Amino acid sequence: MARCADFGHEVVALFLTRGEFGIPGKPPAETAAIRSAEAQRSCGILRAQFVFADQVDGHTELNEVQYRQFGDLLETQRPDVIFTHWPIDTHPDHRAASLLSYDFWLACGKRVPLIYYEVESGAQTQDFWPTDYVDISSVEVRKRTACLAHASTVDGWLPLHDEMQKFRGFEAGCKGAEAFVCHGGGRDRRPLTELLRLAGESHP
Amino acid sequence: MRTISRRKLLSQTLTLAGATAAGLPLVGTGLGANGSAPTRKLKVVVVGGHPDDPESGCGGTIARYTDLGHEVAIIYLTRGEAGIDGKTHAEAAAIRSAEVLKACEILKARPVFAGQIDGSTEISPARYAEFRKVLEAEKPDIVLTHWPVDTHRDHRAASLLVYDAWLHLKPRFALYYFEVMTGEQTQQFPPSLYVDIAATECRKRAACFAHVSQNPDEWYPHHDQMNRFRGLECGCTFAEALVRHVQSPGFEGLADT
Repeated sequence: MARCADFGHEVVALFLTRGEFGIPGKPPAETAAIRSAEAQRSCGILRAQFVFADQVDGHTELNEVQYRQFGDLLETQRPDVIFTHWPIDTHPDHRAASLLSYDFWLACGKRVPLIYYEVESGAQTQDFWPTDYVDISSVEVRKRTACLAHASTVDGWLPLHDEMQKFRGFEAGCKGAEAFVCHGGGRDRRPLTELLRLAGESHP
Repeated sequence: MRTISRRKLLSQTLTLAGATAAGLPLVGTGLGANGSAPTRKLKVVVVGGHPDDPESGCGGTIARYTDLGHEVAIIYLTRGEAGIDGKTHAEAAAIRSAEVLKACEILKARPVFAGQIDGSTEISPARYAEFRKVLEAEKPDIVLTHWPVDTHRDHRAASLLVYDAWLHLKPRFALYYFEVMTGEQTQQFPPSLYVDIAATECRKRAACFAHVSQNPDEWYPHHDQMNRFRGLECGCTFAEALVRHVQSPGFEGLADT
């Protein structure tokens, strides 16, 4: 996200829920307010906009209505590239976000690249075999700061992401990297790094 | 389940790895040392979105399991209610359920219907709980289901329902994903093992053609090509490709050593 924003691209974080059940002992409404504010701070650090899709943490659903509503919401963003969760993930909300995005991608004629990312690999994302890597050495600090903005939850997962970034860096030959699976069969077949670089050069 | 020493487990694991390379995925205690005679009857469950999905995705593998004396149950998430033009849901369900019985007879498998509706399948906490009970009742050692990246929503639903059950049920079953109509339906499928179905391809074909209402002459050639190509990849005439879920139990019992 930070590298895209640095290239001059517009980045939107679309949150499927507001993390309503993510803080033990707090009621959903209070938690949603806390976590929405954290999302706002985090997106500010990454220079991204943010949108909430209004499903509820831990209770996300996939059905005809949800597919249509999410597709309509994503369409209003007019994306050139979509990043989302890999669908094999121990968290049902991550799976829902992934398949809602994939369904939109199919419905829009695969007109934009669809790219899957990983979170807490092994514990959450599973069966993930990367096709592409992005060198994030230059933006690691901002990523870490953006993650730390989620103060209510970050302690549980940031160390694992540090390990993942180092390992993906080994694979990609740089200090720190994020790994992705680029969905085949889309109309735009440029590799991820080329896609971002070329698009960046067109927005000096 | 009997206790196995770590040394014995390692020895058995290496034997089973060889057996798997020869063509059939099995869990730790399911196969004799020569790779043919089962030492314990396994319960294999195959989950598909509609009648004809399990048969086309892994019918050859199902027949190989039943030929070895293992028990196979096929769970159909729907009865294919929306699958016959000009017929009501009830009429189509009746026709396709009858076709399921014929296909399962050919494969020597037992059909189970999970009660969702073709074209309107849902994922929700209630649906996860409902399906978990269906699968739990089968007490599976091995489950095969759709790969989740698939253009058909019902296939994706079947896949996620099984995966969620895998996360929650104990003991964990071995989880494998199969492919259907690759490219058109299953996408982003990276096979991790292959099952030689040369000996059972005829029965797979017959089971698929039992689904007369689905005009198998129009889509079976696609699967025939897939089976031939997967055979080329693994060095036999016909094969089915699977993805073994990485954290699933299976022949890689080395994780316990």
